[in-house]
Amino acid sequence: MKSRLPEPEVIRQYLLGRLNEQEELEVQLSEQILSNDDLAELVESVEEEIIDQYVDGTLDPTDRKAVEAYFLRPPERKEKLRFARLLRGYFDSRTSDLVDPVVAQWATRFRAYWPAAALILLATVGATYISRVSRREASLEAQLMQERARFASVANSTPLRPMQPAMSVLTLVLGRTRSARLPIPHIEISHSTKRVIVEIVLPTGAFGPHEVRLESDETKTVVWSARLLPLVSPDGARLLFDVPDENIKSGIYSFKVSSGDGPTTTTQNAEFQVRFIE
Amino acid sequence: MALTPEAFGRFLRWLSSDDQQAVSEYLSVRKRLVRFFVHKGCDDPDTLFDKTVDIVVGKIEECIDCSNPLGYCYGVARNVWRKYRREYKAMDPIDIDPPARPTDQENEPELKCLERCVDLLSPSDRDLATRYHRHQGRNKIEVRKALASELGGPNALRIRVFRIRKNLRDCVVNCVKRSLN
Repeated sequence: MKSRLPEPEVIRQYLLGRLNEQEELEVQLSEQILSNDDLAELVESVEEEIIDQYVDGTLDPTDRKAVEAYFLRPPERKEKLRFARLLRGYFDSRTSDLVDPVVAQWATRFRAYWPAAALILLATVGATYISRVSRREASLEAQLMQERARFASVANSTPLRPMQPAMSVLTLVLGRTRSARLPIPHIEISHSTKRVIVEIVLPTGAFGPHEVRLESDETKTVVWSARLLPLVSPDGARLLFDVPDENIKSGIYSFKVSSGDGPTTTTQNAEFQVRFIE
Repeated sequence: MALTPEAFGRFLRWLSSDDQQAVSEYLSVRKRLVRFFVHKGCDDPDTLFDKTVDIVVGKIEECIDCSNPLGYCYGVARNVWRKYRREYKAMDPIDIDPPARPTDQENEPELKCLERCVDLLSPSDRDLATRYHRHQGRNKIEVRKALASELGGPNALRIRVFRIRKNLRDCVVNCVKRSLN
């Protein structure tokens, strides 16, 4: 059974930092958000409402101050504010495309007249107006048909690409290289990929620190390096780490893994191919 | 203070002895704790998360009952937040500026992408987004009441609009990145 979600007003106070002095309520809500994904989504939706009200200028001065001094500090929220402004501009411009200013102005003036004057006015201009509205409706209907046809064609030709995850996972085995005539694994990354999580399976009995270097086959440069300790389990030893994708482009790369000291140092390679998808 | 590869490896091992499971647990803990720091109005949630993991890694050996890693990390994260808050209170609030409004020229590529992304929404989502965002003032209040009633209540409307906007935001980000390349 789903637990009852808190009222949006309580969530709003929480997001504006006003529950920070009421520890019991604040802790209770923080813990609920941590473990309840439905509530976490509701909290994010209330967060967007606050941002919308800030953009619209409908917040009272106290809330506005709380938004500027507290709520908008995280970069993620600044980005949401920027997007909310973009949305507002976009839909405002579409609204002005749709409203006929002549009709709007006429309607405003009409309210100022006495009812009798309105009747006379209606009688004289009614026929013309109705005819004009009918023509406009027909024209809008034609535009709507065109828009629907255009949407159907766009939807068929360019379906929404599924979102790429922010992390990609790559599992490698040492010794798997093109020179050994073995197929190498490949990984796809996109603009949304922030980090690549890498797992390298080590030979049995591999203990102690390992030097790991990531080299580009094309430029022969080291794009990342670290000294790592293997994770040892009954299944064997592995290196598990994450690499930022900043310097990774399409092409062949290899992890060079060295262990031991001085003359006993051994180095093995694991190659993989990166395909950068748009 | 950045999270070192060694600390990251120890943290993963602590989360689970199974590597795949450890990575999955890590992503889940990270998402929830970064979100906690965002909700608390922290200006660098990622760094505070890294700080939390560093502290947790230092305490792994002395952790007696660690059957709930998320709960343990959350406890540490609260302490990190309290410390941040003490430091934040000492800051001069005049230093905090709301982000500047971008110019139309700066927005142009995003507006083009937004138009395309709105077109790619399903017809019902596009209709809802348009009706939700189009109106102003009293008219807006009436329209939103009607929409909430159609969808089964204000929370249902909030969630539906939130998901549409999230899709649009992700779509615009990807579209702008593609257009820059």
